[in-house]
Amino acid sequence: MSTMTAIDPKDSVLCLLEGSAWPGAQAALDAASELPIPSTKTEAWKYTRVGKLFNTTYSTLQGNIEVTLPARLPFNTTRVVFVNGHFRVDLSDDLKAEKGIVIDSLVHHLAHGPVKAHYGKVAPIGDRFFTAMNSAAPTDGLIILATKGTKTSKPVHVLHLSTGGQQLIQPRDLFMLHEGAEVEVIVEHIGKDASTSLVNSIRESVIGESANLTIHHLQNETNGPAHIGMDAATIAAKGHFSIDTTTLNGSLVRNEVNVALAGPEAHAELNGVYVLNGSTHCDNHTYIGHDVPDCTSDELYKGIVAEKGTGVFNGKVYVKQDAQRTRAYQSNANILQGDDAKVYTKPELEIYADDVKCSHGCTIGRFDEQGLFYLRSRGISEAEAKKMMAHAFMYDVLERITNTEWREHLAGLIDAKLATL
Amino acid sequence: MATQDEILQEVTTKEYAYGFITNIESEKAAKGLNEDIVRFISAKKEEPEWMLEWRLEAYRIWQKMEEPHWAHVHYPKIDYQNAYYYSAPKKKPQLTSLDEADPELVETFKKLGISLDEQKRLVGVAVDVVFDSVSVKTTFQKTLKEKGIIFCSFSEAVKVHPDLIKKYLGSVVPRTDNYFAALNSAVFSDGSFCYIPPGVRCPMELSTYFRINEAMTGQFERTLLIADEGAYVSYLEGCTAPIRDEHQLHAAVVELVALKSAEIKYSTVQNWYPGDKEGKGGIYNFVTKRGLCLGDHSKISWTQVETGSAITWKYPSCVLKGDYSTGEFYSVAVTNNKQQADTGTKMVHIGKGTKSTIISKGISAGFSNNSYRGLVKIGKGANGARNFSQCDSLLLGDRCGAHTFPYIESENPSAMVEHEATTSKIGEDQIFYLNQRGLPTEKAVSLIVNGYAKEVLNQLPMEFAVEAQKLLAVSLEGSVG
Repeated sequence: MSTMTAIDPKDSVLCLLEGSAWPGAQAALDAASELPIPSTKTEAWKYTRVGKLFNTTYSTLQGNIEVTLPARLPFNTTRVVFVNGHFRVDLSDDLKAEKGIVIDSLVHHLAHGPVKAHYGKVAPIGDRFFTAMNSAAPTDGLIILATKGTKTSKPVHVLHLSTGGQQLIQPRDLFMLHEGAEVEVIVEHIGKDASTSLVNSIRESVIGESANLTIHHLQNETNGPAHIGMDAATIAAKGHFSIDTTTLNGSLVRNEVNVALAGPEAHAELNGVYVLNGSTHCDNHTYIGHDVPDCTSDELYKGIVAEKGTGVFNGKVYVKQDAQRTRAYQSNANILQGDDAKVYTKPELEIYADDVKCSHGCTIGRFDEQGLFYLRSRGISEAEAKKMMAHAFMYDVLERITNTEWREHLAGLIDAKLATL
Repeated sequence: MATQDEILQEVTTKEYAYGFITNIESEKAAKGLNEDIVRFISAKKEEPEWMLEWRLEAYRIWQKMEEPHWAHVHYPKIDYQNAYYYSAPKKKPQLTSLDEADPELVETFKKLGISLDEQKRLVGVAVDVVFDSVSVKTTFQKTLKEKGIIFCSFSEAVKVHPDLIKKYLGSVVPRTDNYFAALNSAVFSDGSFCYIPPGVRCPMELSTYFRINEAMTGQFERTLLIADEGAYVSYLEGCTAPIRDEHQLHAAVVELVALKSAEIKYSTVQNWYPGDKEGKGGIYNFVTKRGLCLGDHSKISWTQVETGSAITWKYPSCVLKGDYSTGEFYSVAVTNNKQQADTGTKMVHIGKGTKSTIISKGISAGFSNNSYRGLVKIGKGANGARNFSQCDSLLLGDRCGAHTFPYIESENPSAMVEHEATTSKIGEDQIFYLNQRGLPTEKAVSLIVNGYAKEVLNQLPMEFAVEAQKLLAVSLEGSVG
């Protein structure tokens, strides 16, 4: 007779999450034990296998280890450093310089009114296992609270360093912009010898009336951890949210962006770039909820997938009944290079209002033969011609990034990455 | 002149124009489903042992399966034990001519506008009429026979051509494929069988008229169509059903096989009873249609005009296995009142240089929901595969929904896949333009809708295109268009 022991693979993770003092942690832990780990039978995770992430026994280390910081960005920023998810005041810039804007470690502000009002509300757990997991025991994160009419004088550069393997890192940010505030944030994830770690991040943004939040998100984790990320934002009337997500390196990367257009004339712009090689799996998953009339959204994701890379795009635009005069555009273009590269894309529209203009398009293909021939006939080598075309292909997205300094920096990184293909 | 809103109101409240019940005594199996019923059906059809075994195996598979609920449709739970699985018109003797048929039956055909007489011969259509499950009359057998074409009812084919049936039945849609295909495999009543021998171009459009008549009778047709090397056939399928209060379950299976260089064109006009304004009654249409391009350079083309049924769950698909084979899907789906449609296609590219085109036009009105769900899959070996998809949705009214769920998967770097979709309502500027040219709003809308669906309607054979336009008119025109 054989003895059978059913071991829930998530048990090893759940025991790490016990005893957190964050608000709602216990309820979240209960939810995490209830909810199953998503499988490929879960529609939202159809093309991304996460089961294997739970074969590792994780630990949660403190962040006070010695690290070497990379060079600063080539333009002026306020740099905030997190090491393995922990805020490092010693490595960060002076965060008090911006008048009327609170920039700090979120853990210090959990008892404050605005945090209590919004924390966990923009990205509720629902049936998302990873949200439950994060909410059960967030590591730490950034709070940005911009009061009425304030504006960041330079972008806030949030640098997340992960070092060492088998760690569970759960960043949790909360951004709140009051009426007319303008905030620009660069979020960069860098990994070092951390390929066996798991980053499960959640960022909630509350964008007030006529406020404007821009997030530039760069996933550039060579040997980096698996990264499951969720950016949730709710936008009030005439508010503006813009996010660009660039994935250049990583093992398993899931970028979820979940936007609620909650006030009339709110606008969301989602841009994405991915250049994948090795066995990088990148899944861009977006949801835009047009809840009220007169909102607009625009999505453009483009990527080149080479070697054994896998590119996934799943975009959903949901237009509620009575959300009249909605304008929603969604586009995803992919170039496949290499016999083992794969692309799965699923652009969805779900529309319950009639006075709308919604469209989506997606393409999967190779470099345009005619374009290549044209360049070759001008005496340009095939490799060089492909590089030029790849650059041009990506530039469609880059030119939508209004911060020219960041755009150029990003273009440099992308070109360097393309040169390795 | 009616305002646009009034016109829309009228469209959305349009009653079904084809509702009438023919009173013919019919022979039914007992209510419910079990192995005995499967045996009963098989015995009724005087089927050989192997066919019965095949059915029973399907029934066992079905019992282990669960009803799928991923589609974007909602309906009360179906009680599969509370339905009749077999019903046949009671007149038993084999008919040699139409004159011998029940006059009431003939009257029904007249109401439907099907003429089994000289007129049909003139337009060159052979009709295999399925009246609630049993083929009553097959015409043009002789002409077809001369060419070596087999076109008969499925039950006849089981008896006369068992080799072909054994070889191809379930080869495209296996019994294990899905819940409704398994159900159909167990209890299918009848359907059409067609075989076009090598190198033969079928001289006429083959056509079957399906009609669900008996109250509380699920009708489970099974169609199998084989085009041998270099053959060509165009097949028409059209449907109407009378008004009944109870929901009627319909789970058909259509299998197409195209061998080397063969071409199959399959056209459907479906206007089954969609239920009344309150969503009461109407047919549940859960259909599995799939074509297999088995040979190189083969082609399968699906064209459908879907205006009926309370619920439609239908994805006519192409498996492009042969190198350089082609798959096409042209669809117009109209939903009104409380209808729900979840329809689309699957194009599975396996062979080299395979091509597929998808044109889908959805029109939703009233409180209906109309979804396009499609899959384009490029396999690893499908070098140089090409796909183009276009899915447009038109919304008439602010209480309906239009949805698009395309799945696009590519595992081959030399393949090219393009997908585009738009959703909008009829432009006020378009209507204004036509008004300005002296066209009343009603006509203008009709014109715009017809233009919108034209790309698909153009794919239909002449005889069908007329009916399809009439159908669009019934559902939307005189009213809107």
